[in-house]
This record gives sequence, structure tokens and C-alpha cells, in this order.
Amino acid sequence: MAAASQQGALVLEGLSKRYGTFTALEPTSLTIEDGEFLTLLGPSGSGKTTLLQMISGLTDPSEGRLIFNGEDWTHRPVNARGMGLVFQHYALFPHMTVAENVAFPLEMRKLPSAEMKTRVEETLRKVQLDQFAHRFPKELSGGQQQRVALARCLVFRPKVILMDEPLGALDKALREHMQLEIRRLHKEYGTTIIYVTHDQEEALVMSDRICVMNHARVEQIGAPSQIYGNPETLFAATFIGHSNVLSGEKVSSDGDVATIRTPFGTFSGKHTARDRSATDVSLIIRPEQMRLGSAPGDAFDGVTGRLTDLIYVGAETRLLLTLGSDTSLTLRHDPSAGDLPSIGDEVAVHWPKTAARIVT
Amino acid sequence: MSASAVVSAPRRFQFGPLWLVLPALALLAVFFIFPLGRLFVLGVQDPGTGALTTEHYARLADTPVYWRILGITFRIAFLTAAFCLLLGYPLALWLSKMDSRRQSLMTLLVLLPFWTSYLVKTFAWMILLGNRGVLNSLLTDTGLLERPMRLMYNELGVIIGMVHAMMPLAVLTMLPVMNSIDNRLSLAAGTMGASRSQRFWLIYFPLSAPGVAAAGLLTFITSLGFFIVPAFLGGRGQTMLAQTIITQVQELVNWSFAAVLASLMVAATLVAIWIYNKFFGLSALSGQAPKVDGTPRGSAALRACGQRVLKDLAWLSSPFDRFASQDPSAKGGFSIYALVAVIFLVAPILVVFPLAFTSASSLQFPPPGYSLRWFEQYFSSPVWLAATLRSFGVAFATAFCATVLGGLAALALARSQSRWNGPIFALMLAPMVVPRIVIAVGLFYLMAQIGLVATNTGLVIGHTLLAIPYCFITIGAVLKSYDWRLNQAAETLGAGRLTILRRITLPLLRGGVISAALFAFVTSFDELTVAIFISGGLKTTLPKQMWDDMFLQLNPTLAAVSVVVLLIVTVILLATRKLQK
Repeated sequence: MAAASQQGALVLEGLSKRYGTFTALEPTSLTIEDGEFLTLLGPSGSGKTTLLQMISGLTDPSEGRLIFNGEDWTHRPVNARGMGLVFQHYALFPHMTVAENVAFPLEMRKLPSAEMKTRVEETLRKVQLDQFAHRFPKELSGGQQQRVALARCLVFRPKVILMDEPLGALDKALREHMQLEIRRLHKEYGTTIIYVTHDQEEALVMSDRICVMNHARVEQIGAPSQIYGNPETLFAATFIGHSNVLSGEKVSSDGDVATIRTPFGTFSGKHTARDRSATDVSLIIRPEQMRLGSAPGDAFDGVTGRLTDLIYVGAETRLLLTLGSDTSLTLRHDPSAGDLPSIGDEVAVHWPKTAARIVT
Repeated sequence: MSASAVVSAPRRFQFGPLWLVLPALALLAVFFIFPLGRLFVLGVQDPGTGALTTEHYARLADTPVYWRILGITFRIAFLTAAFCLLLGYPLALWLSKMDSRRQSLMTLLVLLPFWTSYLVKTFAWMILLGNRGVLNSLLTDTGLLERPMRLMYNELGVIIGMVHAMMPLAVLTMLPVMNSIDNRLSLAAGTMGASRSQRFWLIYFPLSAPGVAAAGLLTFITSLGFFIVPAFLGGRGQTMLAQTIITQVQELVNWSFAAVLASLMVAATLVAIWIYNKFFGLSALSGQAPKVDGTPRGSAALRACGQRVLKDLAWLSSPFDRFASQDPSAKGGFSIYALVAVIFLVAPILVVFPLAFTSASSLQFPPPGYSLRWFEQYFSSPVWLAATLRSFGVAFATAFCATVLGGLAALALARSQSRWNGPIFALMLAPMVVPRIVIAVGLFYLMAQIGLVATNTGLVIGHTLLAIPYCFITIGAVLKSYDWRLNQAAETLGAGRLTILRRITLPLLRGGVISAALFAFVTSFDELTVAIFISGGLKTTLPKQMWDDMFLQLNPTLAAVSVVVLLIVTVILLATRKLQK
């Protein structure tokens, strides 16, 4: 797999960054395939922007190597990497028009002016800004500026495009529109995209793979469905999607299945924990896997709790259950069903054992 | 890999951006710090043996006439600062209440006298205040006075000239602080029941106090080292410290004693700054509102005392509240005062215009007829033309050097987070704070030894020294709002460092850089103090030539020269304003 993926792949080998005693990124190794859309997802301070900056060359790594297409690029100057970088606040040159901004990378590559002109026009058309070629950035809306930044990046057809929370400054509707837009351009150009965001929904919508980061290190990396369906850590399980968590101690494990003892009972689930030897573990059940009622058979586990709230959100009704003093569960229910319990009732819930995951 | 071997060379300021400050630091070290140090040492050295001695200071202590000169200097500097604040505060307040468009237009009327050469200003006042001057002619002709009043060669003349010279500085220092005061605070106080006087004295005035103090400090220390106004508008009883230093150096060649006097002047300046820093902090000097939330630095007891005084002032002025109209747009009296103040600042300068075009060979006012003969005289005089050309040459060179050195220094400090930033910042501004006369005397002593006196190089070095702080501040201000991510963006798009500088950084900083160059140009073009010592006897600069001529005899040629200087400065000022938009 590794040998086959060399062509156009970006390989990080133990890349890390320290500022004095502060660690911005623990040694990180990872391979990004040619044409892949990889999202670095994590809260602020998780090291995702540091990682992106080191790939771009704007920050020097403290240790480790960066290999692109089989060549060592660790200390290659930024302007010789030919990677596109879309900044969070776009960093459009305020003294140049839209067309001049987009032409800038081509000028740096000394393209003949006729070709430059056609390339700029073509790219502006792609992002639907051909009408605005002679405006200055400050005369455009946020979404339009965002598209200029994209065009300026796409125009020189970089092998790799890095995006640092490019949609962070836009409102929700525009953000969702631009997510699809970027996805479309990614498919069209076939460029490798490394995308930084702290918005898990954005990551799920856009990525081929998501790299979940926390506390300056990678928590888990995999396809969106992989991370959602088989989280390895409590952080990955709670940062992406909603999870019901029952914490406890691992009492046994047998291959892919493990058993956990919690204050509310002993349950079993698929053992997806990254650290297989850990005994301090949590049971994860997604809200959509839980049903009302006692467990109907051996293939199910269940608990009882007190219903504390009912929240109607249109497509579903969310039931909030309290177990003990500091544990609560959420489950989803069809709002049109007439069998809803009332607040304060003792309620039994169950889930299939195959839907539960045991993580560290 | 060969590629990585090639690029392992230092990248992106690996030496640290502070290296860029080195050229400016080197200039300051050699031509500012070193000569100042030499000057202090001269004051405590026996000129023959070089041994340490206190005899020069003892001589000062034993000579009553020097005590008197010190007293006069402090008195005039203090009165000047006090009047500048008193007269300038309402004007600054009036300007600060305008919307920004009108304000920048009206501020020009303060900027113009600010940048007008002190010599031209003083020359104008000599025409106005003389025994047969404009004011006395008007008053006697209309029969208001029987005999001309003595308006100059006394303290009155000096104070008028000094206040006129320094008031723009006071207003321009107070204005940014006033602009930064949130007007809603006074409104809020009003809703809590504060009267007009209470709103002003208890809310607005304390918030503007840092600006007032900064203005007071700057006018005071500038006045301490001043000599042009007292030399021409004062009598023998108004001789100030700087004039005495010039006499000691040029006529008596008594370096030791000049050094003592210069040291005293620097000491007085430092004490004034120390007191200011104690109460307000030097950050307020940079023209911005203090970074802290305006909390005064003084002790609790002092604060309580200050608040007591402010409450009393509010109580004292409250009877006048009912005279003030409730309608904020009708501030007749206030506007009339501001208008008078602006006329006081601008009108004296304008008086040189009719006199430059007079047909008479004296400066009588109004002129009996008009002609261009004095301009002809100016443009056909080899002495004046040579002086003008030399001034232009020196000013161009100064503008270039000061902008490059000051700009690099500003760039260095903007990019560095070193703990040396603070001291370097202070050092870069020091030539603005240390009295020019002291810098000039120190330079003269050094340059006489290394053969730079009477050379253009010497003049350019001296002027660059004086202009660096202005360039440093101007370029530093534009760098503050510069978005450094643009450089990163250009880098990722394939631009090298030089390309980034040429295509991105310089175009975006262009306005600031050109303004800095123009400020440096005007600073040099108007500069007299250094020129008096360094320019040498035969080849002079324009201000030096004016200074010499004004001592000999007032004549309409001087008015013509003044008009030319005024026009040049005005054009440059307008160009700068245009660029800063």
C-alpha cells in the first residue's frame, strides 16, 4: 500500500513543533494520498493549524521529515513548494484587483501574458466571478472574497491545496453553499486538499478522510463513516456526532468484543479502543441506536433512567434521560408516535450489543 | 537531496528581524550617544590636563548672571507651556467635536503653522510687533495710541512668539487623545444627573488629561532649548540658556562651560520627562490614547486630591451652566474663540505675503505699491540661490537616508518580539526629545575633529539624526495596520522575498513611506540649529542665510524668501495629506 501510494503522495514522518517548552504538535506521522480530501478536525489549540503551516512551509518543524512524491521537502522554501494556501481571512492583496490577485501566482511563474489572461478568465468563470474581475477585494462580499481566494489558488493548478478554516468568517447558509462548491471544484480538479476546520459537520460533508486532533496530537484518522461508526477514543466519539457515554472498567475482552462494568450494569460492545490494553474505558452508543423499552433478548443491553426533558426539533423528538447524578442519555424518537412517556417517568431503554463501542 | 541542501540557507529573518535596526543604531551611536557622552565629560574635565574637576560647575554656581539665565529659561518655558495648554485646549476640543472630514480640513490650519519654519514665524512677528511694525502703525494711524507701544524686545514679545510657535504642537498632541474619548460617557453622566460643568470636569477633563500632560511636557522641553524667538523678539533680559550656549561655543570658544550648560539642559529635560512618566506613563506620548484604561498612575492620596480639585472646579463653573445653550449645535461663543485662535495661528504668517510684493525698500505696512523686485533680488542673488540649492540638496539626501534608516528600524521593531524593543524604541525617539541645541553642539565638537564641519555630509548626518524619529513614527504607524499574512500568501503563491517587498509590502506602505520622506525633507529644509554650527561660513543653507540676514537688517528680500519657503512647505504638506488618505 505504502509503496503504491508514493506517486504524488505527501508523507509526514514524525513531524513535530515545539516553542520552548510548549508543544504545538507532538510527533505526527501520516500519509496523504494524491487527490485525497483530508480534513484536520479539532478544537482550537489542537495543533491542526500548526500541522498545516508546516506542510505549507510557513513554519519550520522542530523534528521529522516531510516527503512529497518521494522527495524530502522538509526545508524546501515556501515559494518553491507550489502548494496553494487559502487563508482564514483570505489575505487578498488589497491594492490589486480581483483579476490581478488571481494573476499573481501566474506572474510569479512567468507565464506568457496571453495565456495568463485566458487562465485567469477561465478560473474566474469557474468560481462565477467573471463579472467582478476589475473590482477591488474590499468592494466584494465575504463570500465573493472567499471565491477570489479559491480562484487565486486554483489558477496555478497546485498539486496540493491547503485550506485554513476558509469558511470560518461566513454565515451558515453561505458556508453550506461553499462547502458543496469546494467539493465540486475538488472533484473537477482532482487536487489533493488538506482542509482545517473545527466544524465537525463540515468535516463530515466534505472529506474523504478525517484526521481528528486534540491536545497537539492525532486522535484518530479514517473515513467519516469509519470515525462515526467506530470511534477509537472518547474524544473522537464526542467531537463527531452525538454520543451517549457510560464510563467504567473493562472486565474482559475477547477478540473484537469487550465487556465493561459501569455503575448502571455490565455491558458488552465492539472493542474499538486505540489502546487495547487500557482498562479505564467508556461505552459509546449513538442516540439513533437506542430504543424505548426493556431489552427484548440476549442480543441487546438496556438501562432504566428518569425522563427529564422532551425536546421537539421537527424531524425528531429528543428524550433526555438521567442515570444517577452525573450521567445522562439522549435518544431519538419519532415525533408522530403517540407512545411518548411523560417527564418524570422511569423509562427503560435498550440497544443492540453490536451497535455499542468500547473506547478509551 | 540537492534541493534541500541548496535551501538550507537562512530563511525568513533567521538572524532575527532586529538586524534591520542596526544601521540606524550605528548612526545614533556614533553621532548622537557618543557626542552627548563627550559633552558631559567635557563639563567635568580640566581642558588642559584632562583630569576630573568640578571647577566648571563651581563657576556656574558662583556666577549670578547664569543663575538668572537659568531662571529666565525655566520661567519662559513654563509660561509658554501654560499658555499653550490654556489657549490650545479649547481649540483642540473644538476640533475633536467635528466629524472626521471637517476635522482633517480644519487641522490643516494648525498643521500649516506647525510646519512653518520658526524663522519665518519669528520674522512675521518682528514685522507685526516692531515699533514701526504693523500693529503699532495700525494703532497709531487710527489714533487709538499716541505713541507706539513696546511690544517686543521684552518678555511680552518672547511669550507671544513662543506661544505662537508651540501652540500647534500642543493642539496636535491633545487632539488624538480627545478623539479617542467616547462621547457617550458624558451623555451617560448626563442621564445620571450630572450638570454640564460636572460632565466636563469630572468625566471629560480627566479622560483628556493624558493628552494635556503630554502636550505640556512637549511644549515645555521644546521651549527649554529654544533660541530663535528670544534672540529676535526678546531683549537682553530674555536671554535663554540655548543662546548662552551658542555664545559660549561660537564667540568665547569655552567648550567646558558650554558642556556644563548643555548638561544642565538635558538634566532639566530628563527631570521633566521623569515627572511626566511617574504620573502618566510614556506610552501616552506616542500620540495615541494610553494603552491602560486611563487609570492614573499616582498614589491614592494624590488621586483623591485631584478629584477634590475637579469637584471644586465643577462647583465653581456651575453658575455659568445656564449661559450655555442647551442646544449642542449652537455653540457660538466656543466657535468664535476657536476662530480667533486659528486666526492667531495663521494670520501672522500671512502678513509676509503683502510685504514680499512691496514696491518700497522698507517693510512699511500697508505697502505703498506692489512689485516683484524682491523676488528678482532673491532669484538673482548668488548667495541666496546657492543657499537654496544647498538646502534642497541636503533635504533630499536627508529624506532618503532618514526614510531608509527609520523605515528599516520601524520594520525591525514591528517584526521583533525581543526584550530590546523597548529600549530601542526609546532610543529611536531620543533625538526628538533631547534639545536640538545640545545635539548640535555635541555634533559640532565631534565633526570639528573629524573634518565634517562645513561639509554637506556633516549636514546630512545631522539632519538625518533629527529626522529619523519622524520617519520611524510615521512608518511604524502604517506598519501597525499592515497584515503580515499577505506576505505569507504571496510566498505560497510563489513569490520570493524581494518580489514580496517590491510587489506587496512597499506598494501597501507607499503612502506612509512617502509621508515619512516628506516630513524628513521639511525637517531638514527648515533646520537651523545644526546648520548654525555645521554649515560653515561661506556655504550656508537657506535657514542659516535667513538667520544671518535677520541679525543684520530686516528687509523685503527676507519676506520674499519666507514666501518661497512657505509655498514649498505648504505644497509638501498638502501632498502628504493627499497620500495619507
